[in-house]
Amino acid sequence: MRPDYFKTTLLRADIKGSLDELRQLCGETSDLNIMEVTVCSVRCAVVTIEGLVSTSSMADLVFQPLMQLRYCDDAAGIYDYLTQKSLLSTQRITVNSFSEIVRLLFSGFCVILIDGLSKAVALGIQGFEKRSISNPDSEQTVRGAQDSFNEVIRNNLALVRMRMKTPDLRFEMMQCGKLSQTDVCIMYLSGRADPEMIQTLRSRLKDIELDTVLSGGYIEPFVDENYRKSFFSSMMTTQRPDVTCLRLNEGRICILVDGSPFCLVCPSLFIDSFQTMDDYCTKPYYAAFIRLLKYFAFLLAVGLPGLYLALVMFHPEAFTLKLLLNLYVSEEATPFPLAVEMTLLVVMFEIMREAGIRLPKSVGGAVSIVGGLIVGDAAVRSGLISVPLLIVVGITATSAFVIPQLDQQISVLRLFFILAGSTAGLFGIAVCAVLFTANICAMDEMSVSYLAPLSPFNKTRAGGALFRKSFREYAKSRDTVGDYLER
Amino acid sequence: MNRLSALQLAALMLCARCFSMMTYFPYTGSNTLVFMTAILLSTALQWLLLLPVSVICSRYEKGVCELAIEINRIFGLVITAAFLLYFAWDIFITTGTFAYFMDNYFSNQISRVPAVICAGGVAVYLGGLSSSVLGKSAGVMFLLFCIFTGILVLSAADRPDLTNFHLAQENIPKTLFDDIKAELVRNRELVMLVFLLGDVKGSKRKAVFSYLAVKLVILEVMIGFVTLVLGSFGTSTDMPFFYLSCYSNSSVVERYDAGFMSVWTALAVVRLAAVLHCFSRCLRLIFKGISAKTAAAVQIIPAAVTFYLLSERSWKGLAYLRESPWLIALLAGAVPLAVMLFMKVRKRADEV
Repeated sequence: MRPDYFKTTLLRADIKGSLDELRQLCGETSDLNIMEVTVCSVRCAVVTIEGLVSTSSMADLVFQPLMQLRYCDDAAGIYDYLTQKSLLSTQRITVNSFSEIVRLLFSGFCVILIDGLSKAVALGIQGFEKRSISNPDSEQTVRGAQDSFNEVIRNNLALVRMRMKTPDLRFEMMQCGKLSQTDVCIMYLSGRADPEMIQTLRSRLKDIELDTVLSGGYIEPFVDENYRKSFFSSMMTTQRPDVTCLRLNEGRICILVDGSPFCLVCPSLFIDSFQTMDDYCTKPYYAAFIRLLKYFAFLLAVGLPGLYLALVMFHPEAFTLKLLLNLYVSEEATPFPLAVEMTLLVVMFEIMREAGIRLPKSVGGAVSIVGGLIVGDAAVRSGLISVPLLIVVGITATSAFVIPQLDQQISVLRLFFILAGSTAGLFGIAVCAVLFTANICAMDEMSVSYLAPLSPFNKTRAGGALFRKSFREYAKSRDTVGDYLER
Repeated sequence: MNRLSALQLAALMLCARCFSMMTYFPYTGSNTLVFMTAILLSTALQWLLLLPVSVICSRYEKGVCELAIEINRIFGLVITAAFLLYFAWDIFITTGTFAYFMDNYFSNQISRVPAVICAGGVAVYLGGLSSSVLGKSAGVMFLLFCIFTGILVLSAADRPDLTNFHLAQENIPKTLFDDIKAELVRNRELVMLVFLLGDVKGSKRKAVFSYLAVKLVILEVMIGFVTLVLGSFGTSTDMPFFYLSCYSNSSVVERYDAGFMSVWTALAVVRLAAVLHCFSRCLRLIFKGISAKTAAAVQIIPAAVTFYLLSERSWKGLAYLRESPWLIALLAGAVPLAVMLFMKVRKRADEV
C-alpha cells in the first residue's frame, strides 16, 4: 500500500471497514483504544489514544450522553445530536478523512464513528500529563510576573490571551514536521505587525520539510535568514508570557511550538538582549543605569580576557608602574605561559558551567562550590595560576551571567578574543572587533537591521537603547518594529 | 544592495579621513594657524568640488558611473575604468601605508606580512558586504575613534600652553596655497564619496555637508589641541597624533600609543574595505557577467603588488608620496560636472 494512501482516503460508511483501515494505518498499535457500542440500535465506535484523553471527561462528556440518548433511530440522528443538539466539548470537529482522524487522535481527541455515515465527530477531551506553570528559570525578574510557558501550546496561548484582551491579537495555527505534525502557532497583533513580514514568516514555516519538529530550535534555521551567516541570532527566545506580549505590542511576530516552553520572537534586535521586564517596573533612571551596566558587562564578558592578554603580553608599557610590578610578581611565579593559563581557565570555567546546567539543581550548586572555590583556591595556592588572572576570569564569568540571552555568543566570542589578543595584541583585538562588528551589522532579518535603532541611526528611538521612556511617553507614541523597516 | 543613509556615508568617509589623519600629517613647515586656515579653505574648495555630484545624484538617484553609462556606454566605461584604476591605486597605497607604519612606528612586535594578511582578510570580508553594512560598521568604528580621541584629549588636557599659537610665518600666501594642496591630496576618499553618493537614500547634500563639517571640526580641533599640548614639536613632526598618544597619561593608563594603534588599525580596515568595495563595484559595472565572488577575488591583485614592493623595502617613498591634487579634482569635480552637462544636453535633446 502506498505510504500516502491514507492521506487521501476518505472514511467509509461501513464502520467495520473504517475501523479495520484505522487499525491497519496505526499498525495495530497497542495504545489505540476502540470501544464499539450500540446507540439507539446504530453501531458506533469511540476511538481514543490511551493516556492522551481525560477518562473523567470521557465518561462525563461522551459515554454518559451517548448512553442516555433515546430518541434517535438512525446514524444521521446521532450525528445531528453530537454536532447540533448537544454541548459535549468545547472542541467539536467533523472529520471525513483518515489523515485528519489520526492527527486529531494523536492530539488527544476522542473520535466517534457512526455506522452508515462516511464522516466522524471528534471531540476535544485532552487529558495528558503536563507540567504545571512554574517560575521562568532562565529569565528571572524581581518585580515582573512569575509565570512562564510550559510545554502545552494551548496553555501558552491562553497565557498570552489572558494578558492581551484584544481582538487584534491573532493566532494562526499550522502543523510542521512530516511525522511529528507539531502544532506551531504564529502570534501577532493585527495592525501593528507588518503584513509582509507575517506573510514571509508564514511561507517560511510552510516550507519546512523536516520529519520532526520538537522545539523552536528546529524551525529557527528555516525562519532566520542569517542563521548560517551570522554569529548572533536575529530571533530571540523567551519563556515569559509578559515579554511575549511586550514584543507583540511592538509589532513583532511570535512563534510558539507545541512541546517547547519557549516562544520565538521575530525579528529581534541587539538591544533586546539588554532589556528585561524589571525595566518596566522600576523608575526610568534606574532602568537606564541597569541597561548601561549590562552593556558594560557585555564588553567585559567578551573582551576582558583578550584585552588583559594583549596588554600584558604585548603592551605592558600601557600599565602604570605599580600595577605592572604587581602583575609581574604574580605572573613570574606561574609555570605556564599566560595565554595557556588563560585559555585553560576559561575552558575549565565553561566545563563547570555546563556541568552546573546539566546536573540536577541540588547537585549543580555543589559543582560550582567544588569548581569555583576548592579548585580555584587550590590552583592559586599551588602556584598553577596567578591571582590577577583568576580575578579577570571571575569578572568575565560574572559579567556573562548578566546577559543570559547572549550567553552562547559570549562564550565563543571570548575565546576568539583570547586567541586574537594572545597572538597579535591590541592589533588582533582591533581586527577581531571589526570582523564581529561587520558580522553584526550585516544581520538584517526581514528588512529590519539587527542594530536598529542605533544603526541606521533613528534619532527618535535611539535613546531607547539606553533609556526607558516614561509611561506617559509610551501612551503618546506607538513604537513598532515596522519603523525600522529598510525596504 | 541596501542603500546607505547620509550619516552612514559620512561616517564611512570620516573613518577613511581619520585613518589618514592618524597616520601622518604632510609636513609643510607652516605654523599652526596658517595650517588651520588652509584646512578651512581646502574644505570649502572640496565642497565646491562636490557640488556637481551632489546635484546629479540628487536629481537622478544614481551614481556617477551608472549615469555616465546611461549617457553613452563607451563614455561610461572609460569613466568607470578611471575610477577602477584610482581605487586600485588607493588599495595599493592604503595597504602599503598600513604595513609600513605598523611595522616601523606603531608596533614593533607584529610583522607586516601577517598584519596585512589579517587586516586584508577582514577588509575583503567587509568589502564584499553591501554598502549599507559598510556604513553601519563605519559608524561603530567612528564612534570608537571619537571615544578614544575624547579620552586622549582629557588625559593630555592638563598641560595646555596657549603661547604655542603664534603668527610668525614667512610668505603666507605661498604657504597657504601649498597647505591647501597638501590637504586636498590627503582626501583621497573624496573619489570614494563621489562613487558611493548614488547609493545614499535621502539627502545627498546632507551626506556631503555632514562629512565635510565633521571632518573640518575634527581636523581643526586635533591640530589645535596637538599644538596646545605639544607646542612646536607638534608642527615639526609628521605624526603628531601618535606622539600625543605617547605623551598622554592618566592614573590608570601610562601611555595611549597601544590604544592609538588599535583604533588606527580598525580605521585602516574600514578604509581598505570601503575601497575594495568600490573597486569590486567598478569591476562589475565594466564586466557585467562577473560574479561578486570573482570581483572579490580580483581585489587581491593590488594587495599582492603591495607585498612585492614591501619586500623591496622601498615603501617609504611611496608612503610619503605627495600625489597631484589635480587627479582628485578631476575625478571628484570635473567628471561629475561633465556627466551633469551631458545629462542636461540629453534632456534638452529629448525635449526638442
